[in-house]
Amino acid sequence: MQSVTFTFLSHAIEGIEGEPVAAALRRAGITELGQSGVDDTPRGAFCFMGICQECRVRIDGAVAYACKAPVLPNMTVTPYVQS
Amino acid sequence: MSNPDFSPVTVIGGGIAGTTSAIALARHGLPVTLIDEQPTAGGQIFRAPSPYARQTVPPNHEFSGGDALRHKLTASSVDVRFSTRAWGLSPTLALDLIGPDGIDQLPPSTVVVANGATERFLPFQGWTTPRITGLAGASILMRNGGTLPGQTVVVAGSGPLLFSVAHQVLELGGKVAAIVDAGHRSDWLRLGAMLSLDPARLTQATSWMLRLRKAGIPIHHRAHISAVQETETGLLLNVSEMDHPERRHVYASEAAACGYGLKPSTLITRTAGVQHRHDPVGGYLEPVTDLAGRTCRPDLYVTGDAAGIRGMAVARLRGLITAHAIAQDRSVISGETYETLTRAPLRQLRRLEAVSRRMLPLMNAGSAIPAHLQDETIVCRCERVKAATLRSAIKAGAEDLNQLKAWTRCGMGPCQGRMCEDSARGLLMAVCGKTSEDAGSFTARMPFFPLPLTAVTGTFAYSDIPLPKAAPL
Repeated sequence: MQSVTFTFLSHAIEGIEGEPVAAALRRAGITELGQSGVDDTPRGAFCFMGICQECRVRIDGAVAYACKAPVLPNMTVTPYVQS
Repeated sequence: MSNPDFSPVTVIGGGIAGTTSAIALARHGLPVTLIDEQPTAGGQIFRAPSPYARQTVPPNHEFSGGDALRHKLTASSVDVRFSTRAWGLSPTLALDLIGPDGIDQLPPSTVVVANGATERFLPFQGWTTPRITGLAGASILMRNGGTLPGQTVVVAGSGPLLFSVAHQVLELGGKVAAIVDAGHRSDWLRLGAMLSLDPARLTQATSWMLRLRKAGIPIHHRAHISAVQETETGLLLNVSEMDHPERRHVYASEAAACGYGLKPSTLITRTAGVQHRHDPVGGYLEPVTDLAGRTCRPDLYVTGDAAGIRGMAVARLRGLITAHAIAQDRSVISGETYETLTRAPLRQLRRLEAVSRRMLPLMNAGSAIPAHLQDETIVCRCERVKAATLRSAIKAGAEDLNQLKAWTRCGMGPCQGRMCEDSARGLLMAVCGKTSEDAGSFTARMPFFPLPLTAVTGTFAYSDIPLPKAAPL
């Protein structure tokens, strides 16, 4: 079990290499992964199986599901902005 | 017997049914490709735990069963394609894939659809707050991620997953504030009486219930979350009783998990033009299959929960029987061999089917909820379409789900209607008395999920794009 650090917005987050990003963020108390493109209210991981599309984030620029994407050292996670 | 046909078979979905089927097909000497979106096999129930969950979650049947299945798969000749999703299917069953190396297409083959179930969701006021997750989602977060949704959790919805999730919260050291079940207590007692036919489930259910009772967790039957408010530290949840609307309960928690049972994933089978029917007990659409998973298309089989929700033990048996049926249809084995191979699994299947069907009304216990949604409740999470908007569109003449979608944008967002379809259909049925068949389903469309444009185009430099010479003016 390798403990690593990554960045979400301006926060340094501790996670275990290979675990889902959403799990590490939740243990750090972060459930809001972005905002609705329609009414700007918070959204976060809901279905955890790639269906709801609400946990989409950008990892080092590329769109990914936070419920599935693995934590890697030094990666940068930012909300996916829905237009 | 005619000449055996050893052309390729593609299995979509590496859960219990798909993996069991793929291994059995390979043993019959057929070239098999198994596709799954996860990095390893196991599906949702047998999903491989993350490195963190391996350390934090106590050993359980799902981990050991999943590890055994993955081990068998590795030892087989099945060609596996993990971290790969099917996003399209042609009329000839060529499969469009997206995986670690980008876009790919598999040429037409016999397809076994084993893409399992999806959760049915029903809305309530405030349910879009990120502190609320699906019930299956909470289970995945805890079992696969070793992480609690919150230190205190309200577990709500319907079906056996309620008690499994509550148990998982306790297992990780969390507290369950309440269990809110849409089902009747008497239906659970009737199910309990039947479980003697399924000793494995009986043992598990007994241990869960004892532990939940010992923890003193309040359980409300025939009840549902009607509204949620956010506070500084978490949530305040209003629980209403369906038969006594005047009785209300309020619970505070850090998180809530809510889901109303499972339904087969029919996007692929509907795209393939397979015949479907509405199962009134399960309250869902399912492909029409025979016991072995044959459909009206000779080149397409459906197995496991994708053919109707029956749970993991039945999924394994169905996967096995489907593989033998394909071998027989291909003249790889004789009818006699098929009979011998399937005798025991079919006997077990019949015994377990009865118990599994008993679960369906418990999973579908929330079916009356959409009719009573408050006007301000968001039904379509993606497009933030409220119940009031849907009601006025229905009153103005929207007659089925697709018309409702065109008029209101409900179901038009990135989840492609997967989250709101059941509640929008429920509203249609309640407001204008439609049957489920008449209300219909959102039309299945490709791509099956949002596809990044970069994946379709690949990497390129603009200077490499050949530009035809402009025509003279």
